[in-house]
Amino acid sequence: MSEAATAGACTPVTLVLRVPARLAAVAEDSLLSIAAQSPAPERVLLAPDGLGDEAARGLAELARDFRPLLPDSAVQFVHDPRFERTVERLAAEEGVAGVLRSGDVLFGHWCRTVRLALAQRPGARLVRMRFARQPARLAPGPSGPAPFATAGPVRPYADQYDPARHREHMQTPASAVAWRTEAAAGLAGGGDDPRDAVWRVLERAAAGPIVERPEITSLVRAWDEAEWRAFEHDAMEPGAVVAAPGRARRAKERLRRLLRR
Amino acid sequence: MHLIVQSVLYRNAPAEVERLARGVRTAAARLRELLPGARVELALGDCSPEPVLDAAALDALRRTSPALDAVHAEWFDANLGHGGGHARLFAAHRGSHLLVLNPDVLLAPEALHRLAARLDGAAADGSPVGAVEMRQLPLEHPKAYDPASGASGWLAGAGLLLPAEVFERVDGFDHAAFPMYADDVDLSWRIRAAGYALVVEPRAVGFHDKRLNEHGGWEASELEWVSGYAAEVTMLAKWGSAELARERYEQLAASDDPRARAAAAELDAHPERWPAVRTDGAGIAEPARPGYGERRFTI
Repeated sequence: MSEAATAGACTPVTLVLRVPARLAAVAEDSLLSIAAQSPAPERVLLAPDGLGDEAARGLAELARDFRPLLPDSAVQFVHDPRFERTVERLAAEEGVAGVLRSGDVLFGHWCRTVRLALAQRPGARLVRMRFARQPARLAPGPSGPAPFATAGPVRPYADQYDPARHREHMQTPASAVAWRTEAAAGLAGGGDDPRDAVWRVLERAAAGPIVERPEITSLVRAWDEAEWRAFEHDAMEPGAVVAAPGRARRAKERLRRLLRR
Repeated sequence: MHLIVQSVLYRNAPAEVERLARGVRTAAARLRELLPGARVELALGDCSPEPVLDAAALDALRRTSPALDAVHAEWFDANLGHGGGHARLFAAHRGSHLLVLNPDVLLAPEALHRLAARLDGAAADGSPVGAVEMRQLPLEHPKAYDPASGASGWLAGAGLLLPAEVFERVDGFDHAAFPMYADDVDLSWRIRAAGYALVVEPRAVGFHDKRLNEHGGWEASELEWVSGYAAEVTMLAKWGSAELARERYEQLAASDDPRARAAAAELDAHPERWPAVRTDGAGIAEPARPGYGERRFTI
């Protein structure tokens, strides 16, 4: 193995499971897919995002239950009222990080693919992989609500990563990218920028070299909105992470300026 | 409850078997918390040309699995096939229940007790539940089931819990007729013909390490294609009619697809793949339907 390949293979990987209140009920699927990674990530952070105390306690218990499945990983439950601070903390860790939205799942080779990509291009700041999207609903189930796929997986990705198009058309969910943790430095000190923390960190990482991998490494679920309302959850977000209205054009211009440097 | 978790290996990586055991022992510990006195054993049957686990690896597996009452491993020194391996394990390790589990599955911590709880109840139509299937991740099995009751026409064998007496009553997998594919469909229909219901328990989850290709499709190996085609004929012979089976066989034999012709040749060489037709499949078996029943989607 070349020196560069060894460096990629050894890059520590942190996976953050982001659990918004409306998706807390389906965190188990995501966590199991993290536990099934081969090789395992070095760190796993369970990060509630706006969860009430009771739901957060439930998530902490879930983290405890899953620890035996991740014996070689540091599993932490990080309950910070501001999710961006959780993301910012990653800047202190060496390596790459990825964020998985609760309810979405990774295929078993997400970590391996990220490491391969960094071996392929050690200087990359962003790894972009392919993903599939599958319509699903939360069905009542014989013993309680459970995810139920209603159609087959489709692949809505563009073949090449274009950060501007990515932002505009939601073509890449958070689970389909891994970024150098240094991109998260100072994130929480971003003043009054209301945009989502993951979008901002991706924007920073995309300013550096990007490496593409053709493997489909995650499955994003397109939840049936009406069904969730029936379970007294909030309305679902349309994409992986939603940008504030009216900001897409300015962000696109900013990204283009960054990419021209 | 005395549960034997049975898994048949074939050229698996030792790390994969370790992952399997990690899921089983974690779920077993949780089961025992909720059902004190439950016994859980892991029985591995190895069909590989060389043993997957050497003595040191097996010792390590046992040392790291104190939550399991026993870890059994047998190298068969022959490829008995999926069903044949399970038959050998079932004969050697008898409990009150068995979980048929693929070696590339990682069980969620709550999987075992949720499966067991579902087996205890009756189905929506009042029939006793004969077997319970876990929900698979990252890709759910595409076959249809009733999301409210879990009722299903057949159950996939990747993670299947059933009482030992049910498995014994229906004579387990028919590994002579179905050495690789569709043995779970055949087992399911025989369980239903014996008067039991089949259910999926979607809150019992197992990560079954399947992947999509770069285009989002499913890539089956040559062997899987051949076995799949051959199983279609065997299924028609057993659950349809000799005429239907012969018709499908002739289509395969005359096909432009070399995999179909290979399946026909395999059927020629193995008379046991042409079992006698069963007469108790009315209203149960759908041997001529693609996927052997209704599907929610295809991949």
